[in-house]
Amino acid sequence: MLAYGGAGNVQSQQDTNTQRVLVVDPLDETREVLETVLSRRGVRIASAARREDGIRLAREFHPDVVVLDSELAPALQGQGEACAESVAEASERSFESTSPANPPALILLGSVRRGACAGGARYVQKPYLYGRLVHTIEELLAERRAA
Amino acid sequence: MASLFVIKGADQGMRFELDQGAMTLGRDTTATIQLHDSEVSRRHAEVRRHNDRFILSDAGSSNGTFINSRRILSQELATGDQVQIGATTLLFTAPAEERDDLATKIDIVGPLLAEHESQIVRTMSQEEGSSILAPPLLGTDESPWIARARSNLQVMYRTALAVSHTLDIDQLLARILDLIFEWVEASRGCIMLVDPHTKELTPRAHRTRKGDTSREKISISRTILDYVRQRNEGVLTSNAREDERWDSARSILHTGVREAICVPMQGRYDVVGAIYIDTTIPADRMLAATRTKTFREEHLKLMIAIAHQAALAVEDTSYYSAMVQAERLAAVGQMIATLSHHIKNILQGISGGSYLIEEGLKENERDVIAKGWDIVQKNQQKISHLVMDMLTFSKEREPDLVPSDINAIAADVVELMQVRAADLGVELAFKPAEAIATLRFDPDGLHRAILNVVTNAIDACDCVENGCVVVSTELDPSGETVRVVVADNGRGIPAEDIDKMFGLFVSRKGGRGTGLGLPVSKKILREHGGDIRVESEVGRGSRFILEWPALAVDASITAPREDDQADAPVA
Repeated sequence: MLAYGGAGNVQSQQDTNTQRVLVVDPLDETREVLETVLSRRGVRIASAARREDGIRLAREFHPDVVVLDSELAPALQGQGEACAESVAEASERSFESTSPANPPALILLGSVRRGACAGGARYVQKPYLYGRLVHTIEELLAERRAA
Repeated sequence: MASLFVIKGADQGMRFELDQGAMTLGRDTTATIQLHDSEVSRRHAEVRRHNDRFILSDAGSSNGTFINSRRILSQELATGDQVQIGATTLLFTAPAEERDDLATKIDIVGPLLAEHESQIVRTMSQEEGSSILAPPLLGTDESPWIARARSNLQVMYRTALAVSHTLDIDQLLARILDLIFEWVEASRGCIMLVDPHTKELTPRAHRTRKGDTSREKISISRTILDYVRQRNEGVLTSNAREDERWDSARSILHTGVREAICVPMQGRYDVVGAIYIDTTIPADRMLAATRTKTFREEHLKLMIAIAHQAALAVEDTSYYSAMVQAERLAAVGQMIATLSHHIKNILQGISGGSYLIEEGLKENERDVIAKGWDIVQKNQQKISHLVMDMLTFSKEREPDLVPSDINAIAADVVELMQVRAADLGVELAFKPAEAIATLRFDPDGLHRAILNVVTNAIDACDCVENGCVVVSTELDPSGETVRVVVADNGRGIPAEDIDKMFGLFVSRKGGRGTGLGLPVSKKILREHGGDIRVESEVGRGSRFILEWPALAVDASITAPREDDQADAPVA
C-alpha cells in the first residue's frame, strides 16, 4: 500500500536506466492514476502532494519529467490569476535548480486562461483527459530518450 | 491599497487594485484593467501612480474620460471620485491616511491625572443645544429679516436631519415633501427623479395638502422641466403674469391663479431630479384678497437649498444600493468560483477513475479496474457531501428533533472516517460517555456537523507524526448540555484565524476544503440552540467542542427548542 499525501513517495525500484516521472499534485486521484498507469508501463514514478516536497524529492530522484499542478506554483500564490508564462518560468526555474546538468521537462496542469508557455514547459488545460496527459508524458519521455 | 471599483457597467462588482506604477484602462485584452464595454476604447485611459497620488489621464479615447461628469485630460484622483468611461462608472478609493500616530497625539488620561486640571463649568443637554434654532420667545424684539433667517435655518437643519438617516429613496422623498408642506402653503407637490435608464424625469413621490379637494392631475409643463434641468435653475411661475416663455395662461378669472415653484435637485455630480410644488388661489378669493401671491423669491431660495440637500441624500442612497448590489454580485461570483473549483476537482477525480477502469478493461486487469472503481466511488461521495452541505446552508431549516442516541451517531462518523484516517496515517479513536440516555435532536444534522469537524481534524493531522484524533461524547453533570468533543494533535490554528474560519468559503485546507464544512456545522448547532467552541494551540493541536442543550425525549414537543431549562434525563 502506498502512503499518499505524505512527504512523497517513490515506487518501483528498478535499474537506474529506467525513465522517471515526478507528479506533484494535491489531488490524490491524479497521483494515484498516474502512478498506476505509468508504473505498469515500466516508468519509475514518485509523487508528492506539496510543492516543497516535490522540489526536495526532485533533488534525490532526478526525474526526466515533472508533472506539476499550477495551483502549487509560486507565482499563483496570493494571486487569483497569473499569466501562464510567469507560472511556467517560475516552476521551471525551481525544478531546473534541482538538477542543473540535466533539468527535467515540465508539464503544467492548470486553468490559467491566457498566455502560452514560455520555455519548454508543456501546458495542459484543466479539466484534462488522463489519456492525453499520459500521452504527453510519454512523448516527452521519448524525446529525452532520443536526445 | 487604492482601487477602482466598477459600480455601473458590464463589469459591475469588479474591483481593480491599483498596485502598479502605470495601469491602462481599456477594452483590449492587454489592458491592465480590461473593461467589457463596447463604448470603451481599446486603450482608453491610464492611471499613473506617484507615491500615494494617482493621476488619471485620457489616452486619446474616442468618447472621452470623465471624473464626476466633467471631461478631463489629466487629473489627480481623490477618494470618492467617480470615473466614467464609456458606459462604465468606476469608483476610486484610496486607503485612509495613516492614523497610527493618533495615539501619540491624544491621551485619554485616568481620573487621578484629569481631576485637578479642569472642572465642569456648565452642562447642556442635547435638547437645549438644539434650541439654538427655536423661534424667539414671544415679545422679543427681532427684525423680520432675522426672524426669516432663523426660520430658514431651522428648515434647513430639519431637512438635514430628515435626509441623514434614510436609505430607502421613496421614504426619503416622502419626508422631503412633508417638510416642504409644513413650511410652505403649497397645495400639491411632487418629486421627479432622473430615471437611470431612460435619463427622463419620472415622478417618484406625490403629496397634496389635506383638505385640498381638487382631484385634478398635476400637469407640469415640459418646457419648465427642461428649463430647470438644463439651465440648472429654479423657477417660480404664475399664470397670472403672462410670460412668453411658459405656456400661455388660460382665463385666470375662470380657473384662479396657479403659482408653482420648480427647482432642480443638484447633487455632487449631476442633476438627479426636480421638485415641483404649486398652489391655486381660487378666483373668488383672489378678487377679495389683498395679497395675491403665495410664493415669493424667499421660497424659491429655500426650495433650491432643500432640493440640493435632498439630491445629496438621493445620490448617497443610490450609491449605497449600487454598492450593496455590487457586493452581492461579488459574493455570488466568489461562490460560483469556489463551487466550480470543487466540482472541477471532483470531475477530474471521476475522470481519473474512469480512465483506470478503461485501461483495466483493455488489459483485463482486475486490480486496475478495482482501483479505478474505488476512485469513482470516493468522488461520488465527495459530490454528495458537497450537495448536502450546500443544501444545509442554503435553506432555513427546522431541525428534525427525534429521539436519537448521540453515541451511536458519533460512533458511525468514526467508523465512516476510519479509511480516510488510515490513508493519512492518522489514528482515529472514539471515547463515548457511558450511558447517555436517548435525547431529542436532529440525528442527520448532527451526523453532518460531527463528520465535518472530524474530517477537518484528520486533515489537520496530515504530516504530523503520530497524528491522532479522539472523538468523545459527554453529558454535562447538570444534565443540561450535551457535548461532542473532537480533539486532535495536529497543526493547530492561530488565534486570529479561529473566528475567520467559520466564514463561508474560507478554507485553510487549500484545494481540499470547500469552505462550507465549518459554517454548515455551526449552523446546525445554532439550530439546536447550541454552538461550536474552539480551543487551539499552534503546533499542539485543537479541540472542537460541539455543544447544545439536552432535550429530554419526554419534554413537551411544544417547548421552545432553544430552551436551556428543558428537563434533562437522569443519566
